[in-house]
Amino acid sequence: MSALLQVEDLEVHFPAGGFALPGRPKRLVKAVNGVSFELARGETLGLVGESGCGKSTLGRAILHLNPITAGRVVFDGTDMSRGEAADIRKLRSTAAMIFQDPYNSLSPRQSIGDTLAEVLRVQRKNSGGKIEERVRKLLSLVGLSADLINRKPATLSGGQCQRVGIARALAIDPQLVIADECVAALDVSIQAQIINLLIELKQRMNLSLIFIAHDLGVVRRLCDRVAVMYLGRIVETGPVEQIFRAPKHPYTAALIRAIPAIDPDLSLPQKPLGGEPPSPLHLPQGCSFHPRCPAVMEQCRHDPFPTDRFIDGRDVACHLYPTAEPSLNGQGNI
Amino acid sequence: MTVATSMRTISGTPVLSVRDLVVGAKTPQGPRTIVDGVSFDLHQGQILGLVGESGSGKTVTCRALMRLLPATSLSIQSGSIRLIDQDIAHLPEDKMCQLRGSKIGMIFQNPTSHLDPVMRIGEQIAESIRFHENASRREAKAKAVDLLRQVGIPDPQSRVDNFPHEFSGGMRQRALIATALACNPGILVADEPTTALDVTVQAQILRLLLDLRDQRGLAMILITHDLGVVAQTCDSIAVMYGGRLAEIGPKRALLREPRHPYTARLIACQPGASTGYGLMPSIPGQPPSVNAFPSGCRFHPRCDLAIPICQQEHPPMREMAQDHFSACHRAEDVVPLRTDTDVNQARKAL
Repeated sequence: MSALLQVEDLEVHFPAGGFALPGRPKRLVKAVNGVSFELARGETLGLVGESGCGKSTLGRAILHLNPITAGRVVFDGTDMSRGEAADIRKLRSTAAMIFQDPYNSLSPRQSIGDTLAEVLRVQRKNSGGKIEERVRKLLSLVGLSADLINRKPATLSGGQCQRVGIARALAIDPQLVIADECVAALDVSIQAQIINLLIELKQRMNLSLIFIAHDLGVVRRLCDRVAVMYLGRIVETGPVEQIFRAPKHPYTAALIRAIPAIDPDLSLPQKPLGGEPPSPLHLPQGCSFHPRCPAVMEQCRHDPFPTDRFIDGRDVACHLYPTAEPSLNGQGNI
Repeated sequence: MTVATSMRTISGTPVLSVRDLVVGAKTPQGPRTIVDGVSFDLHQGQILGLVGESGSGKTVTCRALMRLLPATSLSIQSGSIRLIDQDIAHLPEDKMCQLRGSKIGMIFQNPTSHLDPVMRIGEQIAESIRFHENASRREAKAKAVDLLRQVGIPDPQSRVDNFPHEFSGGMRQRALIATALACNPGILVADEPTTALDVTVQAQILRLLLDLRDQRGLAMILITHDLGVVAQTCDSIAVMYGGRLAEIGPKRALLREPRHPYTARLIACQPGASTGYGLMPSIPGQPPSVNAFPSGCRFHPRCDLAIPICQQEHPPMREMAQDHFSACHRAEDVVPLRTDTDVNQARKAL
């Protein structure tokens, strides 16, 4: 089965604010700095990392909501990075996004029925007369009562608004949905309801889902594979259970150890990972994790960013592991 | 009161003792009760975790302890707050100013909005030292440098003259902790101190708070919605729901054998509590709004153990085991929902 989405060496750079000295190039924030991965149909990929690691930018760049600096995004056989209007239109009618803040991503002046109907009209998914029927179906699909159709977002709870956000993404019968921190703003008991809804929907509709989150517990529940990002690069990708049980990259291990477990017999790590992610304006030389890495070696400081290292069915960007034989891995990055 | 008598038996007189605290609000729809009859004790060196969903009244409770409620809309209606040996529930503001910072300090969720952006970090720490201890500018600055070192800021000598924007998020929270601890208060109230931080930085800040507790014998109230944070840092836990205490008790007892259905379900629906495929346990419905608290037990519309009496009568706090209190008519029937300790085993091995 061919992949639905292929991302190759994707780079997204933004010019930094402020003035550059005359004659000097403007400084760049390298938000996404050479990311490659594939997503199969029906697969759920979790994209995790700390704030500022570029996970949201990556998600937005895939949907062409951010300009791409370099690299390719191939969606369903079409190279979207060329940015041709017809391709983007096709992308918009088959891929959708769910946003973090359920209130701010809905228009406060539109009733939720109008919000959903607008998508259907713009994407010409249903003929005029059938739109209302379809809106009612969408509301029941996400577990909302059809009575809410004329309500404005301000009169709904956060969980209900997020359900509307999900219904809007599903309105186009998408093949790909990118969910950017879509449960982070919700209370725990509501979070579980929304996660369950996503689990049900992706099975029923055979959705490909990219789930961007900083909460690793949620990712473990929902995702098949996980990609861990640090400063614009993917440092480890692999099947979710393997990564959680035996992380290989020192950053992944620190990240998993830092999640507080709900176990009164486990104590906080005596020596948590020190430091904070550096500014993406001044990326460290070599492996970008080396200033914080507990297993740092001399070569990590100078050698180029380690790639193409495979171990136990996953891709680990770390000098601790040997480079794979190219013949065994014709595919390159996963 | 039973809570008081049995808690006192563990370790002498509490440094903070709250009894039947009621906080009311003026709203356009009329008066509302935001916090309703909250009682707990805090002892020296103890960390109490105050857990609940948004709108459960945990932040208002702590603002009431600090007497930081906005006077135009919220006020303490009844109840007492004993800080060491005086009741501060209705203390005049000038007396309260003497206590804030010197006896009881507070840190907040978003360090950026609680630090003055146009004032040097050192001056913000020194301000309270000069106010409470009549120290000179130079003494206060020297003490600020020392405090920054204690909270783990590298190179404090030069960092003391930085402005908040020159600090990272984690360093700002450390600086805020330094300002709160500048005059050696015995109690620190921490309102979601790590919610705005990344997990690796969260682990550093929690470690720092535990170390400070051990060094200084600080008593701490830690407000959070994350049961994982509570499990790893607190000695006892209080769970709030709809403005009332649902359950309070020692950490291990409360997490292993919750005696309130809300606690049991809250533990089960934390994403880290279980693994594997399939649906997560969740709590149907939504937390109640302050404008429409249900009658009787406020959790009854979402509770699968609810019986007719739950709709009619507010359940009193009952002691279910030593120091373990629950406000549930069916506290005996609550069974802990299975959590997958397998995950935690794997993490232990890391």
